[in-house]
Amino acid sequence: MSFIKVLILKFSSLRTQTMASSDKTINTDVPEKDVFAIHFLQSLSNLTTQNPFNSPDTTNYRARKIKKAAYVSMAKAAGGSSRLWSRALLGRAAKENNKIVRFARRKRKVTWKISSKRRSDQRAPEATDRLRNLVPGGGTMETSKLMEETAHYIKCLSMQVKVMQCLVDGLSPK
Amino acid sequence: MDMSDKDEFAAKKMDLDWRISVSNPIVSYPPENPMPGPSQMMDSFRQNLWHDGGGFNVHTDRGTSSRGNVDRPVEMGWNMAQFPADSGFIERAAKFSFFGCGSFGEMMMNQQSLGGPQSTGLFVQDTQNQIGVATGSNQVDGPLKDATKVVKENGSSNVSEDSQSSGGNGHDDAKCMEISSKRFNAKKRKRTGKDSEHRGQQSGEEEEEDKNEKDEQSPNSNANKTNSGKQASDTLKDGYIHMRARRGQATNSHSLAERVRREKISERMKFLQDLVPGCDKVTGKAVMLDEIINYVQSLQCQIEFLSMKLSAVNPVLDYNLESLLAKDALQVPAPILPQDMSMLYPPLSHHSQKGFMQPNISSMSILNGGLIRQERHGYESDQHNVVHMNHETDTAPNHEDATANRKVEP
Repeated sequence: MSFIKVLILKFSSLRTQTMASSDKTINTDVPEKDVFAIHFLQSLSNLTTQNPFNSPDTTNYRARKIKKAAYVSMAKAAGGSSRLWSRALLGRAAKENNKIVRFARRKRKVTWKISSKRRSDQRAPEATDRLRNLVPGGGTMETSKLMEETAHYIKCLSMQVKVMQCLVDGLSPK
Repeated sequence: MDMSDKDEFAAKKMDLDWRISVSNPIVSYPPENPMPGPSQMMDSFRQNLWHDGGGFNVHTDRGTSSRGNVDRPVEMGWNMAQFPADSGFIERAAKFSFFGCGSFGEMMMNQQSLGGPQSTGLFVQDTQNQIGVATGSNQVDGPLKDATKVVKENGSSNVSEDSQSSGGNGHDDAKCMEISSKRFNAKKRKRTGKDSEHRGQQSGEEEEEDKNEKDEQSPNSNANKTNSGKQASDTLKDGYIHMRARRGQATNSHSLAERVRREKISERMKFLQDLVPGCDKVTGKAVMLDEIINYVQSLQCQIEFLSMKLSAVNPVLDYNLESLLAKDALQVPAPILPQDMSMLYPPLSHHSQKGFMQPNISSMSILNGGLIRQERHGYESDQHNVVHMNHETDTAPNHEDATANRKVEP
């Protein structure tokens, strides 16, 4: 049980280092790491119980499932449907699982894009497109909204990385 | 003298300040021609006229109407006979820090081929809105409108009169504009001295460099815009529109909205810049975006890598995770444990409820050795949350139960 204690200690330490993630103008609150940890652990337990320690060839498969579980748990932890990217992630995961997930339809603001600019477009459109591809659900967002989602996504990603790192450190065989 | 100076002002600095509130004496003349004295100005003007003879000729070819306008001020300059008539005006004009009353501006516009399009009175009027830059007669309407807009913003009735009186299209209207602007400038112009002249100089220089083509936004550099823009918004607070058209920028509604949008984007970029480590030095959207993309990709790779690591560790994890989770679940108030479990999971399944989670997490450190077996299934969520806690190391039966109860995940 010692490593469990270690793990718990790590989580508590994580808790103390909670990110201050609220901006005055842009609200990108990210829940504390504990929330991520809980979600992730639950998903992991789910996974492990489903696929008990078996064949080595499933390492890759398991890794992918873990990754997926990580993303899904992150999306859940980071605010379910209040963030576009989390909804997109969950929708994507649900589709993979042949499940239909419904989210409360939010009132969509009319997004209008300025197609033509007077000057030459100096916005490096390729970069924004790449960003759209990276951030889940970024295909139909305005650029400003995309930026917001990216900020929140980055925060959640880094949080998730920390949680996983702690897990790995805590649970790796001594 | 004054007129010549004004001419040079107008020539070199395309956009004239549209300040109506204050009339300040012209503190500094355009850098190209720093001549305080009227006589000197006159001389320089004369010289310029000589030099710009070609310009005059060219300009006269443009149109008789404009030429007519030109002639008047030109003749004024040449003959100096009309100087006394306008002396008062000229002196006042001389005091204005920003170059060019309408007349001079017109003169300059008419006289010199300032960047192609016919510089009409517009040129004179619209420094602030940047329309004054030699927009052709076709665009008289726009600048006039903008002028009126600015006027309204400034709240000066006289100005509005002038602009409205001059509001029209075509050369004739341009003429009217010139006249009215002249009048207007003569009467109204109050400048916030240093600001205006500073701005004027800036814009003047830029004007000189950039030929004002049809593009309304080109001539002013960003520095000028931001600089004078801030000053403009500072000095003129009583405007109708929220988004003040900064000096030298178009006031088209589309471009305003566009500018708002651009500023929103840049604001968020700055926020992102704080997020991404090591991006303080980076300036510019493109590079910043690349950095952000790299960072996101690296984070995702990290997650993938860690997940692989976890999968390697996973067999060891099983028991620990379960125990951990069970322990965690145990922290829920004991008597109501089953219900709490059910309450626990639905929030987790649907949406995160941080407040709900916190009390559980806070008591995580307490190790509880109870034996609890919980099985939960049937949520519409993707995951089953099955928590088993078993003191025995043998987890096979638990797994069997678990697998029996769970939905199969593909």
